[in-house]
Amino acid sequence: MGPTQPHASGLPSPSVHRPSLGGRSGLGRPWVTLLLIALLVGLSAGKAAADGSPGVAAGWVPHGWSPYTGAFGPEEAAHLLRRTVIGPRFSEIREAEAAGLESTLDRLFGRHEVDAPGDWVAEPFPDWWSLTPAQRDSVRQVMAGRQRVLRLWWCENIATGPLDLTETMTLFWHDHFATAMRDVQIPQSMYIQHALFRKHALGNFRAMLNAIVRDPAMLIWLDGRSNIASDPNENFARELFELFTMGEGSGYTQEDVSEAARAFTGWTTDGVDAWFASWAHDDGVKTILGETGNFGAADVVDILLRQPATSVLLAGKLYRWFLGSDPAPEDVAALAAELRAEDYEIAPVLRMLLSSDAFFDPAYRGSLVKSGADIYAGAVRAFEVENFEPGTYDIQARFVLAEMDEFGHVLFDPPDVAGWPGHLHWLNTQTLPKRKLYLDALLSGRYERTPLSMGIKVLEVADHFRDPNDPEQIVDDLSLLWFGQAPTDLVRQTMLETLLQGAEPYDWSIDLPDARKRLEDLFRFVVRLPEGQLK
Amino acid sequence: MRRRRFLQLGGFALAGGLVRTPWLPTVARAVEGEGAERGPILVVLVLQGGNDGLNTVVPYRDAVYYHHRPNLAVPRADVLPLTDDASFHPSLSPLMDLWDDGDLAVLQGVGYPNMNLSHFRGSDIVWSASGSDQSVSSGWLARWLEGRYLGFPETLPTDPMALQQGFAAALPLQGDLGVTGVVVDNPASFQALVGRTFTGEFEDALGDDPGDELLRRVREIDAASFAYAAVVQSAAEAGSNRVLYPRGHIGDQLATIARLVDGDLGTPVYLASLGSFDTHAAQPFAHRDLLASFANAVSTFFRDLVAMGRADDVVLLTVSEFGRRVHENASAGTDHGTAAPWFAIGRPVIGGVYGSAPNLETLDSAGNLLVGMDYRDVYASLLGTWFGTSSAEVDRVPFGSYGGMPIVTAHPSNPTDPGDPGDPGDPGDPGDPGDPNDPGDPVPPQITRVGIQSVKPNPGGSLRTIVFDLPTPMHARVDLYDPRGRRLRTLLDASLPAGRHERFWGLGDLADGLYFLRLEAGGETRTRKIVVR
Repeated sequence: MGPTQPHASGLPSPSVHRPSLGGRSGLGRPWVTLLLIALLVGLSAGKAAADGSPGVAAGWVPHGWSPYTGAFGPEEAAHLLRRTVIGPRFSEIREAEAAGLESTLDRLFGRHEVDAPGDWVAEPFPDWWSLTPAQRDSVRQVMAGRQRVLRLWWCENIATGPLDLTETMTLFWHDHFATAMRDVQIPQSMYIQHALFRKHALGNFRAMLNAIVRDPAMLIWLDGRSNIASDPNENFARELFELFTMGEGSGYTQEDVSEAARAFTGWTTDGVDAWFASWAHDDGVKTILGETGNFGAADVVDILLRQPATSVLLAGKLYRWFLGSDPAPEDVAALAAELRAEDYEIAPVLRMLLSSDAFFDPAYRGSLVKSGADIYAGAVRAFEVENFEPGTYDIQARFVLAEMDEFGHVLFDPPDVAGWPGHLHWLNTQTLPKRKLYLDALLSGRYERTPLSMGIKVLEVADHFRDPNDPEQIVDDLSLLWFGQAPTDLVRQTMLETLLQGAEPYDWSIDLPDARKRLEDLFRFVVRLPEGQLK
Repeated sequence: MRRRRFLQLGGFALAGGLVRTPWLPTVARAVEGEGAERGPILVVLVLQGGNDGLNTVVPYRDAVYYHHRPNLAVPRADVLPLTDDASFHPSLSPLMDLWDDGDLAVLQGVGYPNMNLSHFRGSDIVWSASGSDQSVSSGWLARWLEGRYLGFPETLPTDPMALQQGFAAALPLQGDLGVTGVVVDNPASFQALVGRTFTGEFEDALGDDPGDELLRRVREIDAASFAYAAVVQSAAEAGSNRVLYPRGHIGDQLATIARLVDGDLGTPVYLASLGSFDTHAAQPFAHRDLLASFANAVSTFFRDLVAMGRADDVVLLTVSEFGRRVHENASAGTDHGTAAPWFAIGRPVIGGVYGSAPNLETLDSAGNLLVGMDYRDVYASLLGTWFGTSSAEVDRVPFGSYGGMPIVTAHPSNPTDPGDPGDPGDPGDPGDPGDPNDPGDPVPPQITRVGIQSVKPNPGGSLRTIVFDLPTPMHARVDLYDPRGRRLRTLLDASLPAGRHERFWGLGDLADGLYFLRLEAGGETRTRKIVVR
């Protein structure tokens, strides 16, 4: 390894910096050269790599949010897309690199619309108490089917959607306002909430909060519908303070929660529509966080958004979602100040983060663990799997749900109202082998107990690489696609050997009779590596 | 049996390449013949969401309880009385046998000062064994395990330190150095799962490949799954359940644990969980069903352990992040509360009700119960007595000095404490003449015959220290009889080394009077009269 390799083998590294690029072989690769230039430019500007050695455990040193001025090469493009899109394809990484940072950001901040999974999303929920047991059973069956359809539908949108932040931010909000279909039950409610997250994905947090207090699924999930003046239920108010806005331990009291619950009384739902029942509303005077008045729901939202703690909580969450797992408080505070200055508009703040010098610090590449969705939907998208064969919709729906379950990332069913703990919590001795098994199946096109045949067409993926007849280029492009960066020398060397299988590099051609088999061996090796679990 | 597992692990390694690589943790190999001893096992069963303590252990003679819960209170006619002021919810009837046998401890009013009513913060506190004003990111079991297995994470013990079923590792196993223990969905197919994506041959080739801190953590998880795949699956295959378990998630989990215990997996800690105790609304049926699933599964689990002869090796502790509000709410539910009873269950447990009944007259400003017992005392008592962990080490786990609750006896495999200097005899002891085991005597007495040396205190309550001698390694059994010759319980049934043995036992919930302790060993019988008053 290069001289900058900081630690001996097998010992915990005190540094999270990737091994220096300069220490790697393959200097002939143009994008490495570009990156070296970028590094030099950055160094001369006194910015890049000037951060010492931030450690995973010790916390990152503050960066500030100065804009990134370095070069936008393949690794920068891959990093940006891997953090903003679930499973970016190689062609998209190339397009982003060619378009440059600003144009790519413009594209990412675009939005796309999707068709609803069916007309049923607006269907009123039947009056449960008037149904016979047999009717209830059939309603339950229909609901179960629609629940599966909803999950597959979102996966399809992720896997086929255009290159923008919509899906990722929709997932971000689903994680933030985590609501579980296993409790809410009614698929219409979950779709309506999902549509809300899509609509406000890059919008204003105040508008989002004002919509969430009257969201049918939320009113069911956190008992808002049974929160009435004569007997308030604090469940929603407590989670609103604790998880959605200010955060636990940020200075509010149980009294504030109780008073806020009174202000939310009266909102109720039938699962599809929500309305305000004034008879159930407590219109007395409430005192919340030092403010006193005859408050209703929107007043509480305003009061909470006036608390700096709310901006800190949201800023920290954006940071950990898009940048790194252990932010420096100074950076979060600066991001929070920006959120307040923008009156909680998400897009400008997120754009500042994604175009910052900090975001492109090489130390952050591969510094987050891929989520379950990054694996099961991201791999389908990244490896250009032709999903979803017609006529097997129900099989696919069950298959995708099984995979989500095994990765601990069932869309529409977060573990609890705090959402998914994320990062290293994604991985353990059970989920890691399951992830590898799934990727293996995607490569072989053979699925245990599931009659599906969709699979990665390795020849087509390799055909989109810069030069499919250059084995080194295949190895580097596959690394860029799945690792987001060049791996260590040893991994790269083994990748090359796996592809060449004893032959000389000049012997390789994509037209060789056994090219497909060799590529499959290479891909199989790559998807099993721990490096591929990171983004 | 254990040796066979090592061979299988070896075979697995040969088939797939080397398990050990320079950057992978190595699996410590047991010396031949070592490790055959069965150690103490703790099963921690989490009742997620905050179990309603007042409707679990019902204060059935307290009118205030019935006043505050006009719709939710368990009718007095339905409860299963335990003591004058404590009774079980009728759904817990499957646990009555364990209670009657003195194998169930009810720990009243468990909590901590300034309890946090958030599920997440509350769980974090209880899992990390910290105070409400501390923020600790490692779990109490993990800290204890890291102290027990000092080589971790570079060297892994032969069997997993802890095992949890499902797909997500819980905070209690999150250590300062990494995740202690493994998460396994189905032990019976774990090896097949891991083996099919085994990359040992590649990883061996990668040798001393570096990588940053995060990559190292992922590789460690990879390595742990490789290392334990064969161990866990062969234990699952070697073991079997002797009874049928009730269907459902908690029954499945406990059945798997029993099977692994029977298969001689040397894992000391298992985690199991049962969810949905957050009964804000429509509580009566939901809570009834939850308690019934819990009680049925737990009672089946212990019947299974008895049938497989492992009941002396397992203690189960229930944990919940908090109890619930004394007053019911308008949705026929209860909101987040504070103190609540926990259970310690198993043959080594000293049955009875610990702590006083909840005081419903004196509540805190939010209408919640005051805490009667610190949950860290429960943890520390289990670690100290059940696992025989030194007091200095126990103090490290909950960040302070806790423990001292005699809720469980020591496991026979624990190293006996050679003459605790903090206990200079018992002043209330009427005198065992010529007790040669005088504390401070450095010369071990020559032991030539089976005998009971002392029972202290005598007369006394339910808790006794019993010293007995075995001249050679032999099987020993100690039973408690009433004057009519009925065996009330078996205190010990184990093969022990030669020497003087000191055991601290609870005799269970006994009426005042005369009883007999009988030691049977090497074909000889010794009986000692004891008085409970």
